[in-house]
Amino acid sequence: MNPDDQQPQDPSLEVEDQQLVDRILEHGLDHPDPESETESRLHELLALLGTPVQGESHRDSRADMIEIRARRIQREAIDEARLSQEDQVACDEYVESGYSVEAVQDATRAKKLEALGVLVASGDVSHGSRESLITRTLSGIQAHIDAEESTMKIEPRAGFQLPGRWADLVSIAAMLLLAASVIMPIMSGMRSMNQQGICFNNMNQTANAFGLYTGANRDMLPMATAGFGPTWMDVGTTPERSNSSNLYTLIRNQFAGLDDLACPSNPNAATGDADPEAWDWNSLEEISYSYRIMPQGGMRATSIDQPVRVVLLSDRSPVVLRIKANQAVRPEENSPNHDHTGQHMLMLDGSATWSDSPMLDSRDNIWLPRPIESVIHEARERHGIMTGNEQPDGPTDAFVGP
Amino acid sequence: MRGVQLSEWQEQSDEQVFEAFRAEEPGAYRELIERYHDDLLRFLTRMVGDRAAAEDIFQDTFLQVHISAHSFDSSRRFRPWLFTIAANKARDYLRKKNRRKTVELSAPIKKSESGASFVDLLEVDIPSPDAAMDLSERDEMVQRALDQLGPALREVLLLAYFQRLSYAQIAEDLGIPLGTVKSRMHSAVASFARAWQSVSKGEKSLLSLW
Repeated sequence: MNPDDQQPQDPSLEVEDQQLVDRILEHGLDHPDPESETESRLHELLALLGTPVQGESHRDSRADMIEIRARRIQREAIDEARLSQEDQVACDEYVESGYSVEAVQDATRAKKLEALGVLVASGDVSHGSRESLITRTLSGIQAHIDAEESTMKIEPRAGFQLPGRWADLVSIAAMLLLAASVIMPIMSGMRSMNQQGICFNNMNQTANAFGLYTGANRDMLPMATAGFGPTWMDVGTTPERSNSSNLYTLIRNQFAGLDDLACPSNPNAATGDADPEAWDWNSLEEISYSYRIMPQGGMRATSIDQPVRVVLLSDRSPVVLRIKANQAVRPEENSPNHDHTGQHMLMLDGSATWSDSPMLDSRDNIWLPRPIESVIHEARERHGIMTGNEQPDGPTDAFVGP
Repeated sequence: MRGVQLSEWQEQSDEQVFEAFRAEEPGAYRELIERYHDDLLRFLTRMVGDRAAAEDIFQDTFLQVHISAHSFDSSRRFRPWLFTIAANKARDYLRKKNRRKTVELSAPIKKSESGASFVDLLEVDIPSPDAAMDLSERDEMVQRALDQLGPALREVLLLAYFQRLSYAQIAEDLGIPLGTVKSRMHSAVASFARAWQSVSKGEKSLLSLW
């Protein structure tokens, strides 16, 4: 039997009940007409104890006895409940058959047991942020690993002397190296989890900044200019030519800091104090997050019917990085921010999520505009996937196989 | 190295994902946490009766799983192992919390009005799974009824219904004799049924005042 079932654990009274006990102990049990039901119950309890209660000298021990008695009776009232014999048989058959109603002889009782199980195992856990709890869990693990790591560091001492032979020391060093080779990859994985957590917090911080900005600007989303120049990919040149300058508006107007928009996984991310004269990041590499391409004339935050489906911000686009580096584009590639495992997305309604793919549920690719997605889709539809029957288009067509 | 994509994880069992985590596959541990978010959080909330505390224990549980990963026997199932760790954490939390638990003198001090020591489930009004009922109201009532059970009974009841384990499996997980599991289960079902009856009756009588 669990010891917790046997021993009352340091019971104490509610403040009101303590005052009531004090009053009764002061006036004695002969005080006529209890004023409340609680007082009446207390009188009954004291009578059960069969002990005189006037005087202050033994007050504490008596009060403890009353509390213990009350607690025991309360526990008995609940723990004494037992199933009827028929229910016990049905319960045993139900559990041992793997919780199958059909396997129980008394189907009516089995259905009761099943309904009771549904009640017990039900419960809505959708309120609260699922992603936030997952991120906090991963960050907590990382913090634990970091703490463990720091306690493993050995501080050199004054007058340190070698505890054994050189050969022993070499053996220990070899073992440490071996252990490090095993632990380091795990550490590296956990560090990336922590970076993900910081990045997720950045998203939430930036959501607040967007909220403050739109509130102060008639619901208009941040925008530095009324339109773009030849390309919105030109970062750090002139504000009218870059989409990132639109996002930088949050920093320039001090709704967010550079650190809020710096993913820890981006080694080139700009951090620290922002230049008050700046209109944009200095280069594409400094940018950690991609911002929704603003249409001509800007966009009102309240103009969209389903803000939960509109991506406002995400980890940086791999497509733009590849285009600027003159590399072939992979449309379904994940952001480089988190080892290409996925990306955070901040939606227009202010919610932040993590996704393993740049494809939304609506099959919309966040890196590409719809016309280009359509072209890719049509090309795939038309040509299909290679079957192994294809031939080179001629002697100059480079084409290799397995 | 790239992590396994979402669709590929979906085809893998918990045990395979856990092995992938032990093999340092990126994203595997997150996948496990995501898989058990709803079920484990629901279990812990029912066990401790407090969502914020349940979230703390949820985090502690996965930290413990991470620390003890090397000790997991890969021939066994992951889910019971996870829930056993979670139940241990919840029990520790309740033990600490109950040390300073207050007692209200206005709480019932007599046995139930019927005076019966035995509960007959046929006499208890338990809503069928498809009964129309306000879910948040039902959640609250279930929690109030569960809160009236002692931790040991609540633990057996929740482990049984959440994990659908046999008596022998519960006995093994909790490290207690089979007979104790049976008697606790009987008592837990009876106590919960009685508490549910009391809570739902109270709710009905309150509604009748309007």
